[in-house]
Formats: sequence, C-alpha cells, structure tokens
Amino acid sequence: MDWNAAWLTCKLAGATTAVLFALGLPLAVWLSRTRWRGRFLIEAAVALPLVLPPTVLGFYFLQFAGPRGLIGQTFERLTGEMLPFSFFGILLASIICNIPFAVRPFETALSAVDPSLIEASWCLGVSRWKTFWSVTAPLAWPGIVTGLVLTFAHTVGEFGVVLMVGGNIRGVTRTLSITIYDDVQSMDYARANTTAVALLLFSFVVLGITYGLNQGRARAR
Amino acid sequence: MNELVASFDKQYRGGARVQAELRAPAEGFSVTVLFGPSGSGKTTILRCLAGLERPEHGEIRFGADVWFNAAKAVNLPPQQRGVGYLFQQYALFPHRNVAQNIAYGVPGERSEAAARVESLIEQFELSGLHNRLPRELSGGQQQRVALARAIACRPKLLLLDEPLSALDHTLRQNVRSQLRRWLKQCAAPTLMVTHDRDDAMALGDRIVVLDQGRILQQGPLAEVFARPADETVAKIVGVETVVPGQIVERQAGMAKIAVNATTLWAAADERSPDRVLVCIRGEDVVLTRAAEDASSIRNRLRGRVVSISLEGPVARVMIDCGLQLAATITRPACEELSLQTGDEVYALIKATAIHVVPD
Repeated sequence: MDWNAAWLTCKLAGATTAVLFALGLPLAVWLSRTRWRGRFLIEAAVALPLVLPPTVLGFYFLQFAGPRGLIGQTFERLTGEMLPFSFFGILLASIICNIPFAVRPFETALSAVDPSLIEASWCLGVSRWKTFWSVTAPLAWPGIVTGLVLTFAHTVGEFGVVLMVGGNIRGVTRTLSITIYDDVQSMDYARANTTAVALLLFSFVVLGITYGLNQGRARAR
Repeated sequence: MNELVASFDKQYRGGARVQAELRAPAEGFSVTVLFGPSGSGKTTILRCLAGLERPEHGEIRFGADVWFNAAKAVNLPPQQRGVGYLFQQYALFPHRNVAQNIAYGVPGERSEAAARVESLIEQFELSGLHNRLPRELSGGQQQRVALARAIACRPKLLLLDEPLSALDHTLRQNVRSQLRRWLKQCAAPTLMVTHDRDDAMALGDRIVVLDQGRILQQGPLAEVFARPADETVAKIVGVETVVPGQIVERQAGMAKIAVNATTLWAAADERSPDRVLVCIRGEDVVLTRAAEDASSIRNRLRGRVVSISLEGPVARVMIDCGLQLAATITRPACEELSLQTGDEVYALIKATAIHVVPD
C-alpha cells in the first residue's frame, strides 16, 4: 500500500469533515427550523451531488476554479497558486461533493428534536447558542456523528472528482482510490488488492459503528 | 395597578387569524383563564405573550415594560421576558434527570441554585426522584417537575398551556385542587389555557372567552359565567339552555318573557330590546314532583322528562315544558325523585338565575 497516499487521503477526509461540521451544521440547523417557502430549493441543491455524476461536478469545478474562472483567478491572486491540481483544489471539490452526506443526516436528526424542548429552554432564559449545545446537540448527536462518519468515509472513497480536479500527483492529489486505479493500469493486481481490502474493511467497520450507534440509541428511547 | 395589556394581531400563512385585546393583572397572585374550544387561538395568544410567536400588529406591555411593539419594531426574545411556560406535553428535557431539569436555567451561585432546586423538589413532593429521567416518571410526577422548572427562575408571569390535559381523569381531579395552591405559593400572575369548564371554574379568578381567534368577553369568572355577553359566549361557557324569547311586559327591573308557549320572569335591564335570548344554566334549575305553592321562586314550569343522561356524579335531564329545558341535578337527587322518561315534573327557576342577552 502507498502510505504516502494513505496519509494524504486521511488529511483530505479529515479536513473535509471538519469544514462540513463547521459549515454544514449551521446550514442544517437553519433548514430544520425555517418556515421559508423556498426551503425545498436549498434542499434540492444540497442533495444534487448525490445524483450528479462526479464528472459533471468536476467539469464545472474546473470551469469556475480554473485559471479563467472567477474563483480560480481570485485564488491565484491571493495565493499565487492554481486551484486545480492542488490539495486545496481537491479539498474544495470534495467539500462540495460531500455536502449531502453531512447536511442530510444532520438535518434529519435536528428536525427530530421536539421544538417545544428548545422553546422551553428559551423561556427559561437560556440563549439560543447555549440551548443548541445543551439541548439540541445532545439529543441529535447520533445523527450528527452519522453525518461526520459518512462524510469521512465517502471522502476516503471519492474517485471521480479527485481525478478530474486533482489529476494524479504523488503527495499532492494522489489518494488511495487513485492508487488502486494506477495499480490496475500497471497490472499490479496484488498491490491493488491490498489497498482495496484495506478500504473495504475500513468502510465496513465505519458503517458498522454508525449503524450500531443509531440502533443502540433507538433502543434506549 | 400594574397590568398586562396585550393588543395584537397574529396572521398565519394558512389564513387563520388571532386577534387579542387582553388585560390581566401583572402583579400578585391571580389566575386568568383563556377559555374556548380547540382551535380558538388560546395557545397562539400564550405563545405571542411568551415571545415564541411574533404578531404582525399591535403591542404587548407588561406593567411598564414593552415586550412587543410592531410600530417601533420592539420584540423582546423569550429569554428577556421572564415568563415561566408550562407546555402541554411538559417538554421535559429527556436527557436530564429531575434535579437537572429543575436546575436548568436557574441563575446565580451554584450553592444558591442547588438550594432553590432542593426546596422546589420538596415543595412539589418529588423527594427521592432526583436522579430519575423524565421517562421513568408517572404523568403526575412529570407535570410537577415541569411546573417546578417553570417557576424555578421566579418568573414575572406564568403561562400554563392546558396544564391538566395530559393527566387521566382521577388524577386530574386531585391535581386540580393542588394546582391552585401551588400557583398561590408561587405568587405570580398566571394565564392558563383550558377548554375544560371544570378546570376553568376550579382554577380561575378571571376568564377570557375566545372563539375563532377572537376574544368575545373577559372579566371575573363568576360574572362571565352568570352573564355571558351573547349567545356564542353562553354556548362556550356552558349555559345549557339558550332560547329566543320576546319581552311582553316590564316592571321594576323584571321582564315577562314569552318563550314558545310559556312565559318566564327574568331580571332584565331596562335597556334590553324586546327580542332576546334567554340563557339558563343547568344547575340553576330545580326539579320537583309536586307543585309547591308558596315559594320565592318566580318561575314554575310544568313539563315532561324527555331524556335523562348520566355524566359521572351528575344527571342531565331534558324537560319539555313549552321550551326544551336542560337541568343538571345530582345523581342521588335523580334517584330520589325516581325520575323516568315521560314523567311529569315541575321545573323551578329563580328569576335572577335567568340571564337575558339581546338576540
């Protein structure tokens, strides 16, 4: 197995998860409470990466984040570097791809919290911020953890977008799933198999923990 | 005298609209009951007062404090209104035990807060249940925890949404009598939503009657029950007999009213028009077998029993005596008279117990 690629994959998955926790949670809170009529449009947009082929996302990402795109130009002006074929590039693309894997479980869990509990907390003089961390989050945490785990695991397994946006640069954008592709291309099936088995086991263990967590929680109720 | 003055409009997207013109004491112990059928807007009013719902127009003032003013874009969040809210299903935090639920939101020093929680646990007979989670409590215990939590922060105003509706029938009877005592100890003005007439009568000092999003009448409980402003209020507060009549004669504050084939004497305002609705409460009707002669009772109607329905400790007897009259008597009284459908009886009604409203 390519340990360099393994470390890069973990870094990418960890960063994606952290960013989606920080940005996806507020979005999910808003979606779970708003009475705005246009909410369905935002929900549809959030779910888009579930159904779009990664190549479509990658294509548009290159259009906007490439050297002629607005985002790409701004990034280049600020950092002097290009977004495509860089770690930041695949991180940004991976965040967009993973929005539904984080936001949807968050939102489901947050909507399931009885609104009168939140209102009760407000009436007892406790601020919205503190109410979220002492009432909403503790009651929704299995869903929040599920979202984080799915995001991490899905990023580890991401292939199409990373290849389109990042190419295949060792130490910069070559993740584990890409090394498998490489190994198969060069007929090194043994090496491909090692990585594939590792990813298979990782994915199964992670999903096992997630479902176990939710089942245990359901029984405790 | 400090008062809660609320005058606002709340329009829901679905089309339902609640208009409130409400006054209630803002200091000292008193219970104001918001009374009306379900869907009449009682809970909406409570939520607007708590700051959980924002009305479109109007103002809410509590004593000198402005809680809400649409014109000046003032809308204090619930955190700053200092109300205690008892939710219909109690809304206890499922992941916190009894003591933690009550302590939630209690400000001040740790030891001071703990002492406050301890005294509430004792007052509400929850000793020994400190570490229980809400789901491990009975309905009555849950209700007491919720009430203790609501008053733990010493609210300026208590809002109770159907405080007894989640309890079963027998428990309800017991809690009803205790609840007023607890509220009295808390010494805060209380607004309570209910659609149950017995709850209203047992707990309220003042009553606000609502129907379809409008306040129809408000005032001291006995006055509203005895003198409903119109037919709708009469029906809502449970005056059983409401029939149209025509005033045919007036003398010294009394009116002789023709109702169908009979006539009734009632105390009536000089100014009331001739066409009126006659309201008679079931418990103001006395039934006898024999036609006694000398008594102070002005109205003595002969009729036949149409139906008898038993409702718990009382019997509701419908009598046809030229008008359909409902009488509420105790069950033993019903048995003593050995009333049967078709029997002849006399219904006695004091003239002062007959309430007349303009038709």
